[in-house]
Amino acid sequence: MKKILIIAAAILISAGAADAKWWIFGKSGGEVGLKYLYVNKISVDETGPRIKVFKETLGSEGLIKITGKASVGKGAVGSVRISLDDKATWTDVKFAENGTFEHAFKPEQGKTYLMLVEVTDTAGKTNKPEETRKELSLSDENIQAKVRETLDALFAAYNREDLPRFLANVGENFAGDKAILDRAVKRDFDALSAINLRYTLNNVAAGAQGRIFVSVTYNRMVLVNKTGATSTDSGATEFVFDMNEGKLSLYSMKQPLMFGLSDSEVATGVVLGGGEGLVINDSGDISTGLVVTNSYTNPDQSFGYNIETEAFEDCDATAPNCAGHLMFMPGVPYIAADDIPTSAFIGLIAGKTVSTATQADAQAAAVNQQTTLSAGSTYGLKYGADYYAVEVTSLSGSGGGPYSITIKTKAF
Amino acid sequence: MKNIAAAVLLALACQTAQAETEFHASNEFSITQNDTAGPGRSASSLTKGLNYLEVLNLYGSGTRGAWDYSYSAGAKATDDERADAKTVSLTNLQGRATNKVHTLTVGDVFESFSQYALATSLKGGSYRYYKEGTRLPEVTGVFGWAYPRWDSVWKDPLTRTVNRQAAGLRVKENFNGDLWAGLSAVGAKDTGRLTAVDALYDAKNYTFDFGYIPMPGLTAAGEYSASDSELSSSAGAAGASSRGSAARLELVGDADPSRVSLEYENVEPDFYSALGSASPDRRKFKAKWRYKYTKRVTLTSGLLWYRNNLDGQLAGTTRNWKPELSAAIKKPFASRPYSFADLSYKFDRKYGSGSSGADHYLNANYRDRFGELDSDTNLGYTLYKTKTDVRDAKEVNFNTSLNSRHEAGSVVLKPSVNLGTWYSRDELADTADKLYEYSLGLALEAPGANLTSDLRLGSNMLRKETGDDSDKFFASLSAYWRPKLMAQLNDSTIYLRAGFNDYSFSTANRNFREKSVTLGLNTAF
Repeated sequence: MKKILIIAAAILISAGAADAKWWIFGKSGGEVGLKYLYVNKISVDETGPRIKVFKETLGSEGLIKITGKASVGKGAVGSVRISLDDKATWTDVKFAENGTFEHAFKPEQGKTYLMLVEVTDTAGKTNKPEETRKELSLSDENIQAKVRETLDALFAAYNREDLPRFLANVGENFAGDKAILDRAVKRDFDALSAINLRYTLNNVAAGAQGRIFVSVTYNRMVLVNKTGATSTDSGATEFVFDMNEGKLSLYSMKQPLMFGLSDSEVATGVVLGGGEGLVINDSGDISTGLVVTNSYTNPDQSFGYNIETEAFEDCDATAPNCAGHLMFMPGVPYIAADDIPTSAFIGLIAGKTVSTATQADAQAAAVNQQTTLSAGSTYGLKYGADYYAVEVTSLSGSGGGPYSITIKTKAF
Repeated sequence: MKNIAAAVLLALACQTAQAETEFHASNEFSITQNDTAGPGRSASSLTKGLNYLEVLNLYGSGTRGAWDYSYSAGAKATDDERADAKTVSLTNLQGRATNKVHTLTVGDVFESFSQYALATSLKGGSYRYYKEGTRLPEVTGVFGWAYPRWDSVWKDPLTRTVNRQAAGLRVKENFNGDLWAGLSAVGAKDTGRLTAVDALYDAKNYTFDFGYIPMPGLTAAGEYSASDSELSSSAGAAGASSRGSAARLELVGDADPSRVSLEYENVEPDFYSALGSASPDRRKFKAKWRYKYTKRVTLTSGLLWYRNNLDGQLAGTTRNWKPELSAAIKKPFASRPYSFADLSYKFDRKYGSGSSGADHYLNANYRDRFGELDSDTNLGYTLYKTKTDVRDAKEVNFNTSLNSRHEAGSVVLKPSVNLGTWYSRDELADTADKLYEYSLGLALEAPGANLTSDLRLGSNMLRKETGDDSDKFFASLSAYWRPKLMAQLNDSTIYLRAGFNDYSFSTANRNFREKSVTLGLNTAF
């Protein structure tokens, strides 16, 4: 760690001492200009020609603040002026000895401000104000509308498997690294088709630092190209967005992931109680979170389900005679964990579906040999070292049968 | 206790509303009728039947004496369990007051201290001291609970989570405009385990971060964070205490014709941040250079390298190399003024811990205008290659779209055609899969009538050598009309969205159809 700090310090010191005519940069240290310029803490170097500011980020005083530092090489700063009406009028701005200045104004809704900054040194030499030209406006959208617009764009691009449009809404400083997300989403698109991903907002919080926290409930259906299987799941997850020139860009995601399912490293955190969600493995198949749906009709009231081969079979009312890992006796009614040939346990996961159940839920529930069977219930199953969630979505029949059943299962 | 706190927050928001000088509200109400049919309909992700969604947001601000204040509140109601497990829920609630020195925020508090320290929203309160024109540092204190939603605060059974209580303090000094530095201390403590296996943390993070502009166009930013965390024992897992650190440094040089960024990050395996963002056990280096070679040609190159197993405790180390090179060319053909080409090559090398893969991604995109038609064509080739026989495949994808725009009186018509195909040759399974897709679209805009609509239909066909083939036919219609309602309702939209999907598989009992119609009204004043 010390080495890193020493190297970092050496780079910074040498950079500070170096002439600004470093080959990669076009600016000269001797020119009259601006060392930096911010509009409400957004660096104008990072923006396009237009900067939209949202009401929620103005702070309670409702001001747009322009801060910067004039740079005049060997001379001294003579004046700093700002125009907000395309040079029609100029306002002299007070500046400190080192050239730093700040100008604040209260923007009006619906009005566009054409900002230019002019710096003059004591010898009368000025910068090129045109290079500082920015169009400032106060957005009439609320932050929730902007969040929805951005999420709509991200979700639509992902559903259409349009990688360039998806990445256009991801920030360069994405915490999980944009290059990793780029490849992970490309692998998602090769692995999945007929993606149908929807959301509703749960919570939006805007911070003074220009970041937006967003919590959503999602609902997803995908078709796995490798196997031809479909999978649905739902749950809650969180995003953080950066705000830049009136546009939001994705800054971070948590698990369960919405995008980049092929590389869980794009997530930098886990939603409390959220679980892993869908995970695509290196072979291009879904390894975690795949929800398998199966329907079956049995002539009598005793049948089994093999959780590994995902197949039902008719069998007697005793577990050893049924090769399944789950035993159904709807006439009693009970559902049992078949402990032959390995130890297995089952239990009810209350208040959850197979999509929202987590491994922790399954672990906590799977402590019994059998439990009451009912339609609409979700069960946790332990089979050997593996955990599963099983949801009985429909069950019909009576007495000794026949019975029809549809179940959804998910392996953890 | 938390119910009382929430009630106080709501009361505060309502009280401030009485003295507002500015007030805005937006409301969205929609009803959706979904129908599913067919033997495989349980695979649908739609909720069958009639459902509603209501979203209300309020925002206000004003001045009282030397204090400026603002507030916002929002709520959502729905009877569609897939849209939300809760029928009625509070989506956001925040009150903020400032006298330009002291700022108090209650409700949804998002004080993002730094990436490693605090990068999540809290339900609670914060205080910030900042006096302009003085040498005094900016001080921010925050306290609250890291719940993902408000229902979790009052422990609703459907959305209840582990209780993560958080507190943090940050001191930030802006030395001379070129250099700022901050110190943060953040603590998080989990209680209220829901299941016997829930992990409960008691974690503290101490973080230093800075920003520095040594010369015009060059910025440096960095962060160092030390964590001290304790994981309590749970069913099947022993408790553990651990200490770790994370550091990152970024240099960005940005001035025409180049933008160069260099990043270094080192996150120790035992580093834990309950409220920040970090990928533990990763050492990363990244360089990126964007160079405007000419006015028409921009070149971008990048290299990302990272590895795990920094403390050697794992059986193997996984290393990743991800170089990339791309060129964006405006007018590659001088005679074609609207032509644009984008070529890219990306490589993904991952090896160690029993895996070894080298994937190549090649992509070419060309956009142009031919008479009335705008075209956008994309051709991609991907080679997945593993030495460990996990995924050896060649994949080719091709998409092209043609769009045009026609004015007929006061109406603008935008027809479009999209064609695409994807071919995958799996060398391990010795099979080939093909996907064909097409869609036709017609967008209509009538600016005088404030009407826009989009009609789209098409089909995706997956053909597999082994496994189920599948066909999906889809049709969708969306229409938005902004009528002139009352003068106060200056931004109202009535919308209709309808969709039809027909999924058919080789195994007929998987077939199903979905129909969905949504009618909604957005209003704002």
